[in-house]
Amino acid sequence: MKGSMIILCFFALGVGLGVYEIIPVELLPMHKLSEHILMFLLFVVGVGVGADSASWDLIRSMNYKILLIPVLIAIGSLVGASLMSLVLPNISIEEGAAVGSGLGYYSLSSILITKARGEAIGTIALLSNIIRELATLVFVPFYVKYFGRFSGVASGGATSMDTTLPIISSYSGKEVAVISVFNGIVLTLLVPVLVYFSLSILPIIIDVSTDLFG
Amino acid sequence: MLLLILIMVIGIVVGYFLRNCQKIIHVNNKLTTGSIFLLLFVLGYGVGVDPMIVSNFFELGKDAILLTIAAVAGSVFFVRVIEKKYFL
Repeated sequence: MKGSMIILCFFALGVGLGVYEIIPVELLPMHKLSEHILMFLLFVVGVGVGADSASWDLIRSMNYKILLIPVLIAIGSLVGASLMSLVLPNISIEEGAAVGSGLGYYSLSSILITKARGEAIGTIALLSNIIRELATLVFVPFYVKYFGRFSGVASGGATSMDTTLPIISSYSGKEVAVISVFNGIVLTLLVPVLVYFSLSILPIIIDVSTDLFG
Repeated sequence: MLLLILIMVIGIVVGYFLRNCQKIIHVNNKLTTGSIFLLLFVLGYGVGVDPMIVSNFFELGKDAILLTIAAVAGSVFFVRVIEKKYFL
């Protein structure tokens, strides 16, 4: 929670300085700069996952049923957000799917989406995925009570391995905590793949199916 | 974007071989946090200099909230289905 607040502050500080154009845009090549920082970020995130012995132990002891959980959480998020985009006039289906692909991993998903589709939808992705993390921290007790013990993991998405793990562990139980970590690792790795799928492959699928059935 | 996924995979392999070097992993975690802060600042700056986004901020926020509700509902629903089938 503290982490996401600090991140929000950095974003807000950037917005504030941007509004007054403290640094002229010509002097600060934002797109090149953000691309290089992003490459660096993905590398260090990868190193962090690879170095985490818990993730390798989990993969060794994995059975296919556990893998179903992150896969269905990802599908659910994409389907839910795409359906919602049908009633939102400013959001296309693939943009909705891309926002849903974030799974709470706001830093990475918003940057990827901004790079591919511009600042407006990137900002929506950032806000949406920060809200997802914050709402998980607040509503896990309610979710677990009414929608079952995996609902906290489902809501947390990619954050279920770190920021939302403590609350999930205390309301869903220790055995779910192990699944929660595994789920977070798989979804963290899936986020860039799902964003790519939503923005590059989904439009082709939609085009082909409108040609066939439309 | 495929290049970015490849970079991440290379990172995982490197991380696997460095998994016993606690010092490097510690520095790596600090670098991760630092680059997220820097990146979000740069992202915010890009938003701030764009007058179209600044004037539509609340509209964007409303879309964000609705998409979040739908995405979370979808995830919870799909997981609920397999929980009943496999994990009872």
